[in-house]
Amino acid sequence: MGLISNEQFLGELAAFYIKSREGGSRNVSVTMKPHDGKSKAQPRGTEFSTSSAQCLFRAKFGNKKISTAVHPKDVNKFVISYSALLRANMDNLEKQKKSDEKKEAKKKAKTALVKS
Amino acid sequence: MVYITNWDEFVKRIEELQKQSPDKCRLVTKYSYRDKKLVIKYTDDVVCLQYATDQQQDVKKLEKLTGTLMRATLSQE
Repeated sequence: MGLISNEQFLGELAAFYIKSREGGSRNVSVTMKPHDGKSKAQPRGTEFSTSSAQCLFRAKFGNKKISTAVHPKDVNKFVISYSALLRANMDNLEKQKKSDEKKEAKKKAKTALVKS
Repeated sequence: MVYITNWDEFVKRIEELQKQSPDKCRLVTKYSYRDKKLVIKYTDDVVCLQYATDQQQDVKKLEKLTGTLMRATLSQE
């Protein structure tokens, strides 16, 4: 599987998250790891070349796999779009408990006011 | 593998692990909509750090962590 562009990757990842709601596979997993641009296996003991360091992103949903390499110059752009993507799609987790407590405190305060 | 329950400790141990073997580490996030669960794993194939959550606020922390780790990965020279 070849690498696809950052934008294409983010687009397909968004599609994965949406599909995982509708059915099919349960999990969407994303892996981030250092990558030095070498696509072939290197002999044992070969040093990681930091000069061409990139970030490799892989995503897996069911039997579909996509991957992209993020170059240092694109990091900020990628982080912004990736964060937005996470925020938009990981939205059915539990909300903070504190807010519930605050709400109840408000309710109590209101009823106390009414009583008095 | 045991989950780390405290986020700050999780991040601290990730940073330590990253310093130790910067080119072997990977960050894996697994999200399940139906199970309402988010699992974050960081490993260098020797040590494995995991954190599981169902809290919305942890997504924000994950965003921050991803950014820091990406920059740390790319600035190791």
